[in-house]
Amino acid sequence: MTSGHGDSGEFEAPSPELIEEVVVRIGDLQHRRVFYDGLENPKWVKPLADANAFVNVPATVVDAEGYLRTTPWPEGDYLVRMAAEVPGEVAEVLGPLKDTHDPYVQRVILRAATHMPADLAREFVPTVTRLIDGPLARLLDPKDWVKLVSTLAYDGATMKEAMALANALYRPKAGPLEDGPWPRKRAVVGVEAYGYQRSMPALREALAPFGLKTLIQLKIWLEEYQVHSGKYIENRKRDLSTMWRPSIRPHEQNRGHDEVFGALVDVVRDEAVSLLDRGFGLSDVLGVLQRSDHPLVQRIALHVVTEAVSETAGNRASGREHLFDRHYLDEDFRNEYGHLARAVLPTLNQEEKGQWLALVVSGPFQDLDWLEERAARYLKVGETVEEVVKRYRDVWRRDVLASIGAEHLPQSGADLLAQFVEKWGEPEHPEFPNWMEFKEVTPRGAEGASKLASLPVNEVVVWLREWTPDGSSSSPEEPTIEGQARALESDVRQRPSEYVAVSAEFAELDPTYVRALFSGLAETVKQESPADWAPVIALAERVVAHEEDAEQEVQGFDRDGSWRFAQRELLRLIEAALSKEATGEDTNLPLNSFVEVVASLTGNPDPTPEYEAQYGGDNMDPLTLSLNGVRPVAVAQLADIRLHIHHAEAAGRTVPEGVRDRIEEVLKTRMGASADASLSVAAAFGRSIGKLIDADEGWARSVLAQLVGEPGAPPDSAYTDIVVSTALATYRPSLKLVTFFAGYYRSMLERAARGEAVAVGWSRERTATQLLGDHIVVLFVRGELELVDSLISDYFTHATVEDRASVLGHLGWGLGREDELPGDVLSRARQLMDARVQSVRSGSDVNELAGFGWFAMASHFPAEWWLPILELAATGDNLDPHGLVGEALEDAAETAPGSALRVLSALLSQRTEPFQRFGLVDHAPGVLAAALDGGDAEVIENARALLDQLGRQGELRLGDLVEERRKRG
Amino acid sequence: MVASHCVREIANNLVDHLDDVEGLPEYVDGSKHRQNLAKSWISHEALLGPVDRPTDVAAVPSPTGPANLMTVPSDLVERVRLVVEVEIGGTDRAGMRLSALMTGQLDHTQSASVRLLRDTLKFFQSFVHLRHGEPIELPDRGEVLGHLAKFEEALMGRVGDFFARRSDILDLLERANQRTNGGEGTK
Repeated sequence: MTSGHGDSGEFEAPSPELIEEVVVRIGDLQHRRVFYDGLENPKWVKPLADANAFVNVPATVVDAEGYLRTTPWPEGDYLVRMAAEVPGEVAEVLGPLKDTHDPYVQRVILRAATHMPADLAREFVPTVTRLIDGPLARLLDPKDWVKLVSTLAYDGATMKEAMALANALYRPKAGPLEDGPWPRKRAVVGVEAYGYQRSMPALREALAPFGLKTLIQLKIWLEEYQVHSGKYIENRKRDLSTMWRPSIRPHEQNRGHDEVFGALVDVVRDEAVSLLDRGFGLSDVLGVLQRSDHPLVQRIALHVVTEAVSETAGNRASGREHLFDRHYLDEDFRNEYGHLARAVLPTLNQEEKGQWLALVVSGPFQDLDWLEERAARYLKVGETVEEVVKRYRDVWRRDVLASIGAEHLPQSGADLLAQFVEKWGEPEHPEFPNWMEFKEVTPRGAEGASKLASLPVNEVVVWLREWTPDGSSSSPEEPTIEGQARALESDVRQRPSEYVAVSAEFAELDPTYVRALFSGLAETVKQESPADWAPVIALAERVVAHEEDAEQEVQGFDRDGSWRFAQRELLRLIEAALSKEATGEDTNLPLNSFVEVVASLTGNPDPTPEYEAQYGGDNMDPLTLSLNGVRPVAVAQLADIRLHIHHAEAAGRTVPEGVRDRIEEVLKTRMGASADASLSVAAAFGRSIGKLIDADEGWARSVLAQLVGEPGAPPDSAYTDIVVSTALATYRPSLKLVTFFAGYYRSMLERAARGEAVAVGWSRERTATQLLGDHIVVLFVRGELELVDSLISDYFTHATVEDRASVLGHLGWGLGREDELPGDVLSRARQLMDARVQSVRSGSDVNELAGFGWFAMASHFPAEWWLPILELAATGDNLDPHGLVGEALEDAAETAPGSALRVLSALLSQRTEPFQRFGLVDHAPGVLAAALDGGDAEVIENARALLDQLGRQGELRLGDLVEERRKRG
Repeated sequence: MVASHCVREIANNLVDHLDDVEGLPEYVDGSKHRQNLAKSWISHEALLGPVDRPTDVAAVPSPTGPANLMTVPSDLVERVRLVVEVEIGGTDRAGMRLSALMTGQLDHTQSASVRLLRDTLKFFQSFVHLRHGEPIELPDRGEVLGHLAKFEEALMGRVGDFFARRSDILDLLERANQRTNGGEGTK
């Protein structure tokens, strides 16, 4: 719009006729968008205003979901662009709107005002200030506000408005208390935290005309932030700032967890230093900062002194004055004092250096009573209070000197530091009273593996029995039981057979060590099974006998609070041993003993009903819960052993007599809600039932009613649902499994149809009844069921329309994930869909086809088959297009333009949200171009209507895109 | 006069046919309410007296205001209300319907485009009816055609080809952004 754009000449003023010619053509919102988005001529502002073109501003409303809804205001965007060219005329147009409460109009005013001179912009300050507390504030880039502040600040007549706006945006206020068990105070600001931090340097520059007043204001903001966020303890004048901001200058220890706080510290620091650069005296700057009671601000002052100390003689004198001020030797100033000392010490003469060292040696400066009182708290055995006080003083002096660094100290100071280090050790990070780093946390004592390895295993047992943690120290070096257990587990892996031989002796040890022993053996048994399991079995029998409840558990992170962890690890050891035998490599396992050990654990109290009530339900599904409970794991393991025996017999190996019957007898006693109401045990049976069927289908059928009740009987708990749904969720589709539970599906489907709950064992994305449908349709497409089979007909008769739609969509999705599929699978999938389509055409709910888009996207089926079905599906109100269906439609439009167009039109008419329409609109040009070039008059007319409709909905480039596609052919 | 009638009927009814504006107020025919009021009066002539002479029913001073009060049938008052409502609310309704016709939005009653259309409709409105023997000075043909063209352009924005209109607007933009030749690049 200016010569800078490379155009020559002056914009022409519009004639009244041209204005009228335009106005009569831009009634429609989208036509107004086209016009105002392209209008560059500032000379149109006044004539358009005279023609009332700007009087209709959008009204923002909050919709039922709580979202702000507004219509675009292209006139507003034009005014923003023109504000720099004809600010007076734009201000005149926007003036009548300055009392608006509409956030979008307020935003237009803000953006326009940033281009106006201060005398015009000031009129709009109240308007844009209201925007700060409005719903759009968090979405705005603060740079617009900062620019406005700058405009106002640099004009002497509007500086007051500039500071008022800056305060409204950046000044911290007391916010609501944080939610949580320990509500904390919270400071709030007018700008979103990230934007606050990003924009603060620009704001500082914007406020530069205020000189020292800027620093005063920024310092006040920092103090108020500290107070409102609860980080400043007013009655003690302390702020713990060395924890939140270890270094005033940039440093990796300054963790950016609080953007507003960090921004305020930086801006006060930078403005103070900048003032020195701009010619203000150090005393002026310190006069502002040192009036503060906040240690944080005083630290900034110390930093400023350090930065200024080399500039003038006066500044050097100030530096010396601060260096000798014992107030700054306090730990709170340690980091900044170190920097100051490094800058000032080289400027001192020998006498002054001596005086300074004498000052340090005279510290710390707390009185003796205080020191002794504190010392009494940290007494070690055999120490006196006097010794602790002396130690404290020495360490304090060491740390002051060390924070400066030996190379920066006078020789006498360096010598003294060396003495302290020799006596008390080298301090870590002395320049930071609070040093934080992240390390991998390992249990203390784990590094003791080498010690255990040096002992014979029988001595290890003795040592573990006799060793107890000291507990008198909080030192990270203090060993713990957990740490010793890790060392033990590591050692067991190194010499498993030696530990097997003495394993029975572990029975009297802490359960943490027993768990570590089993864990170590479970790893090694996969390579080599013990020649003699007897000692391990002896220990196992003792371990399974422990049955403590949750109340008996010892709480703590440094040891196992209960035997159940050792019991679970024992089961894992047996599982590992069996997995090795399953390969045929190990045929000498003590199966009888294993079975008895596991059988004992099927009666273990873990998990208790209280535990399941607390951690189950909405928190954790029964299957997940079952993987960590002793009792359900034991149940599942017995089923594993039963299958193991079956395989061994099939391979011709000898199996101990009676073990099979024993397993079946134990399992039978645990079956059914009346035997054990635990849903995690139900889930364990669900995930094991396939193994039991494989091992002995006859027996499994004989106990079915005991496990899940009689078919058709009203379920008295979720137990039956959990068994059935866990089986469906954990096994691949199998005719044997599906027919095994066939008598129980009707109840589940009918309850789902009535809206009643059907429990699911594994909470993923599929419900129990959807899982059932998934199995059935997969069995059909694999040719293991026929359409006439009652499993299929019953399912599609009784399942809800949502479940039917989900199952068919899931099938289409699954087919689409495979690159290649056998022809008969695809043929049967089509057969199933055709049958369901026939059902819909005969009157059943069309929304059953809501997931059919997946078939269209699967790229296995011809368009002439799926397009008419998709067209039918689109007559429902729930078709899920998943975006990608647009691509399939575009491909199909080449051969069936009319049908593709109808589907596209139907889908678009059902969706108004841009994100729902994107994939469809993206491929609309191809569909529309094919329809327009197809030669069918009715299709062409429909295509034009849809094109027109989409244009009016804001797809302004669609016309050009369609024409491009038509040209490409 | 025929053209004026056509324009009026299109302007009054097209927006209902388009049926694309949510909350569009219905067009209310005021003559029907007036006729109903007349019928109601006649049915209560015994109480109110004949309609062709001033009422001669005894009235009493109001205890709360300056008006005199008389007994009137309630159904007649309701019919009076409907006539008055058309007179008062009809203007708002007409404005919204015109806004909807021109812009597709109800609340643009004062926008430039709607004002332009309203002026054009007023022009035609003034030639819809004869004026009881009072002579009417007919406008010249060019003025009529000019208003017809505006009316047509206004409607085509709503019922014509969207992208053809977009193309027209882009042409207009070229003219709107025109610069004088040989200038110095100032605004």
